Amino acid sequence: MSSTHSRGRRATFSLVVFTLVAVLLGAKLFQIQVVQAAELNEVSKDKRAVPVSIPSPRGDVVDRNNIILATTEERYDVQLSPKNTRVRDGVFYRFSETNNNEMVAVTAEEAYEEIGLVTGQSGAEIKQIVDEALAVDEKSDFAYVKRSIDLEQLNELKKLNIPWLSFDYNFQRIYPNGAVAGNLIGFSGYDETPLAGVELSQDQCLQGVDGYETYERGADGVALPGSNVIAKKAEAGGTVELTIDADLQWQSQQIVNERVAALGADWVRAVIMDVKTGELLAVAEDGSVDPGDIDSSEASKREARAYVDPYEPGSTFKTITTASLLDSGVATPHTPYETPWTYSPDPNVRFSDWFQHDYENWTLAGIMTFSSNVGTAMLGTQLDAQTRYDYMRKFGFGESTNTGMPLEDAGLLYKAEDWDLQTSYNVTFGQGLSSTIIQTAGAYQAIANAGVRIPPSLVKGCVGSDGVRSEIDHGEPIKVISERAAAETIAVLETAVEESWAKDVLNIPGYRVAGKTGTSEQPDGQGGYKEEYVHSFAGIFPADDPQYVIVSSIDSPAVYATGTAEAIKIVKDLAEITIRAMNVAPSEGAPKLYPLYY
Amino acid sequence: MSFPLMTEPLSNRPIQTAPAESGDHLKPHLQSVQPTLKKNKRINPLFMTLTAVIGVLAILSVQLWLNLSVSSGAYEINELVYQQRELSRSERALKLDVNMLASPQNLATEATALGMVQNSQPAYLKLAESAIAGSIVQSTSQPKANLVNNSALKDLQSGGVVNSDKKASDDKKKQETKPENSVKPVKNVAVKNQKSGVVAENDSSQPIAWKGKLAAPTTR
Repeated sequence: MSSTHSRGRRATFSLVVFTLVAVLLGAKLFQIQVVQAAELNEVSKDKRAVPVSIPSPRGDVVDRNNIILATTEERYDVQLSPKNTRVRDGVFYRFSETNNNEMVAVTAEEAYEEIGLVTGQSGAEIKQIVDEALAVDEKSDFAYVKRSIDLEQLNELKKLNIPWLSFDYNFQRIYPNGAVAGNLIGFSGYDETPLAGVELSQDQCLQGVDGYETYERGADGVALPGSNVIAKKAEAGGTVELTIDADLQWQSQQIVNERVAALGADWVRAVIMDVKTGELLAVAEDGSVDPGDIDSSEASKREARAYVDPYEPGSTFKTITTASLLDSGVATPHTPYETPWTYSPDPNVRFSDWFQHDYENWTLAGIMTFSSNVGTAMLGTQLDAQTRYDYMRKFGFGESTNTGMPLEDAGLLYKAEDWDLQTSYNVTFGQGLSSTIIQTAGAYQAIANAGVRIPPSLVKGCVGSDGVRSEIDHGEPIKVISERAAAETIAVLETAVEESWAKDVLNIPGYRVAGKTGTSEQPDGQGGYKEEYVHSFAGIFPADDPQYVIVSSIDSPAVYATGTAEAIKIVKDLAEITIRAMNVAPSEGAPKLYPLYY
Repeated sequence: MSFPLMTEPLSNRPIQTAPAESGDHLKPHLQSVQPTLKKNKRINPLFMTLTAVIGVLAILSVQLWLNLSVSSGAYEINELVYQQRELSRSERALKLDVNMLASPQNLATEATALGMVQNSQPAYLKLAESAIAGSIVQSTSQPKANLVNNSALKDLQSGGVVNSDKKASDDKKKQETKPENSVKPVKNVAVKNQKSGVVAENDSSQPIAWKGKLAAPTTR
């Protein structure tokens, strides 16, 4: 009986102890798994998982045919561990190149020479880097050998199997076409901060979103294979599509660069615009910046001057006056005016033509052909100031274009009520107001497009990394003048070319071109005008079926007399490259010319 | 339901009725089975132990094999991911090189070096009207030297020391193997030019400007 009793007690005791231990363990388990779970997870994660940021590449800028104008490429930094170069008396072993089973000893000096051969440094230079780093800190574990090497160099360096050499990558902006459209693309500063052009205005589209990943590492710090977890994927930046045609742009820049040197001009600019869409195909300026090598260009030419440097358009603006007269019905191309060479309608107001002549019995078409300031002013002012001002605004003067650049100047156009008497006359022939070359092209586009002005555009849109396209709103099309008035204006402009010396310069066999010259004085900033002129030509071609508007301007050429002819020649050259690049079919029919005299 | 019972042998009857009579009668039956079981176990312990040990070993080795194959798979994946990254890197670098080579500056330089001229005013054939649009008398113009900077191109051409070294050695090789393959057309040109009285400058390193009619094969 006693043995049975003690056995029962032992069993009870064991049971109690067992239960107690089980309860204790259960409680601890509960504490670890539930109560402290989050906290412990956090602590352990930091010890095991190492977070690494995944940088996102900046998006591309492409032209209308998807030719890459700006892109982002990986470049590599070469680093070394200065202290490790001295380990084992500066000797390390690696497999021989000739015999894979044999190990050969390599000294640090030999390795410096090998590295230098790839990076373009001398062995002594690299040794100096190591010595300097160790002089500052004898346990130094990091120094750059060379930054931003390309993939080919990286692969060559990896083949050297140098244990103390390591590599890191970063992104670098590359412009494969150099200065082609460099004025429009813009550029970035040293820390990749966009500073100008589309790089700046479309920064939001181009910027990607950085991601990050984690990997787990063992006690020795080595990453465990397969432990990489991408916590957040890097999103690449979007692609900005331009309306520019890279080939046309390059050819235009060639012409402009060649002309500015030959003419000894301050600057030369030219624009090619698609009539049906208002898209800019080329915006060429002399000495445009090469975004890949900003220092090689003059500081004053790094901006898109076509957008930020307006000038008084001069006689090319007479077309706007003519179009307004024709649209409002105040005049027809045949409207006569007995034109003196100089005229003073009021005591303190005087304006003159560019050459002396007797009273001429010119029609409106004749006044345009001979580019008479007096005739334009006297016919133009038959429309009241406010109406003329309204037409100018509808043609896009006095307000900023919105093509997609960071800064687009509005030019200077005073309100009609602020015009003094002289200004009221001057604006009819394009003085006393200013516009950018883009605005001038935009106004001619309205005439070429049957009176409908489609706001000019440079940036088509942004295609995100997810393939979603977003268009940029450049503004609504505006009906400026009637279709009839537009057709008559083009015919007047064709008459102005065909019936003048311009015809010989502008001769493109098979193609009809309508256009207007302009030679304008520029303000000297002190209330007067400078001695030098801006010579321009604004053309529409083919005149029978307008497809392109081309405008050129030359500032202060060394020889005044040939300036306007040179401006026409630039338009001719640009028309020829456009014909080739865009396969423009020749004109049909004979031009309808208006009589110059009544 | 009672019919099947009627067909059973008589000897079974007492056993069927036994539980109803008394529980003690069952014991002898159960006890008689136990000795035979013990007898069997006596032979088996070693066998059982061996089986158990082998079983455990088998499970462990399968587990080990699984572990090894999974982790070696992980290394393989790692290696492949690395390889993929390297390949996509070089693909991108090559694409960029193509972009730079296709830049108008480079194309113009290459085309000019080949002696190409441009047709400045093209004419068009209108098939529907069997007419020529534009002037058939064509003027060509000499392309001008490039005036638009491209620093990217400079990078590409100097392309690191390795690149240009390679190019140089490749060029050397080409020159060494050149005479065999390329001498024939040069000879032909020289012969033709001599016939027409023009002295040919037989400089094989320069592109040869073609003069006279285009050569056509004689077919019969």
